[in-house]
Amino acid sequence: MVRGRANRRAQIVVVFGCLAISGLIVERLDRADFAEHIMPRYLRFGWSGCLCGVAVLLALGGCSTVPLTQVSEFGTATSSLVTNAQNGYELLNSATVLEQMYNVADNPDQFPTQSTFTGFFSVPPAATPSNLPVAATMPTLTVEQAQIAQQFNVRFDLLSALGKYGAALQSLATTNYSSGINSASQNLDNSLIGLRDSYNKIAAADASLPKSGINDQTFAIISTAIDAIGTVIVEEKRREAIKAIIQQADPGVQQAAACLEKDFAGNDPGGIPANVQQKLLDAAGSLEEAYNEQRSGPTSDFTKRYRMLINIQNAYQMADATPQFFASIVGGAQAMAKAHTALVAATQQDQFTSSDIVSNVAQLIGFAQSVDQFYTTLTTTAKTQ
Amino acid sequence: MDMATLIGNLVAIINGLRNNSGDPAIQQKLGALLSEVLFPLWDAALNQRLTQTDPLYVAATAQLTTATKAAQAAQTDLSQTAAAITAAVTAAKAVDQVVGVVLPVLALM
Repeated sequence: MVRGRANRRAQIVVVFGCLAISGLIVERLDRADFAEHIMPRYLRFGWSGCLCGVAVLLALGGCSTVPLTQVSEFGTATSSLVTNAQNGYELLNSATVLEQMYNVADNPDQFPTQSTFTGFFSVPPAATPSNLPVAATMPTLTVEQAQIAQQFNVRFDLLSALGKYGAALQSLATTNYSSGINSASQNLDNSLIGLRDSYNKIAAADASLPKSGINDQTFAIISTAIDAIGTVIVEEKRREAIKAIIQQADPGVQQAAACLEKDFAGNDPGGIPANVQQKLLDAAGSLEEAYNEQRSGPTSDFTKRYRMLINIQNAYQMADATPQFFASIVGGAQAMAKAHTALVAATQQDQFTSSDIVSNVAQLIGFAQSVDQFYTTLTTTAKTQ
Repeated sequence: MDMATLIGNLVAIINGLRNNSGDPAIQQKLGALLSEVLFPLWDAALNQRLTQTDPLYVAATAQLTTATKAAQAAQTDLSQTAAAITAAVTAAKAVDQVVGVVLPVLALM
């Protein structure tokens, strides 16, 4: 806001400066000379002065047409990262089901029951990869599983809200129609409510976490800023609204990133990444067990044994890739938090792009892509089993 | 170390034992220990808020440490596998008293 006023002041000074210089020149001239020779020149000077003033004005006013590319890219990368972070939780579920199925398959004394196919929690169908066991169709969960399901589902909700925030921000930054603003604004409201409520549920179960930084005042400020955009989209008002949104949403984004980091970080042998990896290693062990039982059987031949070895190799590759998948989610969450901080810092100075934002958003995009690649590798490997 | 970490360590060693043993009978025993006992307990410990000062919790972590040492011994000497399984089952019973996962299968092991 302060910078915007300074720009306008500078524009006025330049225009009046041009006119004043023209005036001084005219005063020093003889009236006759003025009428005969100088007037045409004055007119020329006047026009060129005015043109000069307009050029400077446009140059200074150019800030208002700075594209919101970085804001838009942040939104897109965040949405992509979030989808794969949801896949991280889903992988935990799938690995559990996979491990149970393999254990039944490799032991002829065991038979499948409903619980063989029951994972940790119910996964939203949209987030369930088509080539992995579908937990959403699983039977009723036990009390224990239901408690765990609650914890994971609330994380799904938090991530979903974060993804919607990214998408709404991207939409606000790029839409050219007031209807687009209205729908982005509605999505934004829902996403921030989701960020606040789901984070508060997580915080309620973890005494080390504070309450959400998003509150009623947040919504009031954002709502006022979006209302100000009006029906005709004026770039300056759009930028003011996005500035308010980024600054108000920041605590929610930082808390969601910290939550992801806490769940997926490090090489803690008791953490989720280790749990998933060990389940996949156990699945590989079940395949090994089946191989060892059948290798000297009457129907064993080279082709069958080789095929089983390929399956075992795939299981090991999947287990090996898992830590990197989770590390990329954590790296992505950190990059998202840093990029959002850079956006906040820049918008406080009325800038929508800076070298800091460019490098942080680029890093975020890189992580979002690498998480996506790892997830594709994992699911492709699972598909070949 | 917290309970989930200790179970995670034990699972990693037993997984290694199982996956590097060419004996289907040992692999089956270790596989059952993993899938029917240790993983459900680990999942429960990972997702519950446990009080680390609870005497049952302290006792369970001590048993887990003992079981981890027994599993490590079996890594270098496979003949110790049976003792490692026994120690792991004892630890699992202690853990089950804390996390409250009903595991009738423990009675059979």
